[in-house]
Amino acid sequence: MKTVVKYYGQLTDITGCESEEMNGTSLHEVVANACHKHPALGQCSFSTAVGSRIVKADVTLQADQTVSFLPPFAGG
Amino acid sequence: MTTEKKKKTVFTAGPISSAFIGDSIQKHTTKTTIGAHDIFLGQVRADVINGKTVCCIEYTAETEMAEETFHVIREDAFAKYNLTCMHIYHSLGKVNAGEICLFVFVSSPHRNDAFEACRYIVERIKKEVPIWGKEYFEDDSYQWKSNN
Repeated sequence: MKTVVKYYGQLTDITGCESEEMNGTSLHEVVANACHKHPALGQCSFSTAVGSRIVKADVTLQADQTVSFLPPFAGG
Repeated sequence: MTTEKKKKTVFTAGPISSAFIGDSIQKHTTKTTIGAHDIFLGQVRADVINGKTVCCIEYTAETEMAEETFHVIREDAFAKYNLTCMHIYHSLGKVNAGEICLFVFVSSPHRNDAFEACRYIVERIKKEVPIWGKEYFEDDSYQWKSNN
């Protein structure tokens, strides 16, 4: 299954894009595939969100869900 | 019937002007149960890093998540402190050094709640809201901002 992944902040420099499709049926599978495609991503600190919720545990993804890669926040 | 409060829009394009801040204060003159306001203004610093000076920060966000998180922070602050009202504004896009990028405005009958709530809200924004800043130097190179 193809899942839309979105990258934010400094992760857009590492991946060279803000969004792309990634294979995977679970969150951890999508993260592993993204890190395989962009090895420097694996060296970065980030949290992940499914839809608009931050999720740490592995979850099965639904077809219309988006996975976001969120580097440490820096507002203010 | 839903009791959920309407989510307020927090993000504003570019810097937050002193006129906007002044108008916001002026609008509270009719709310006479208020005895104390506290205001936090985040300003872009012209940090010098390796001999290069930051001239502006370009802010981006996961806006849907960010607005939801702002809403949760607002609700938590209202539950924790005796507040009359609260306003939060954060810039998106470019903000020059010396300009305001974050405006938190808290009002309460008494000062202690205003002081404590304002700090509580600012600290949670820094920690929990998915916002990022690209610090541009004068030569157009950049680095990504990190919060301490």
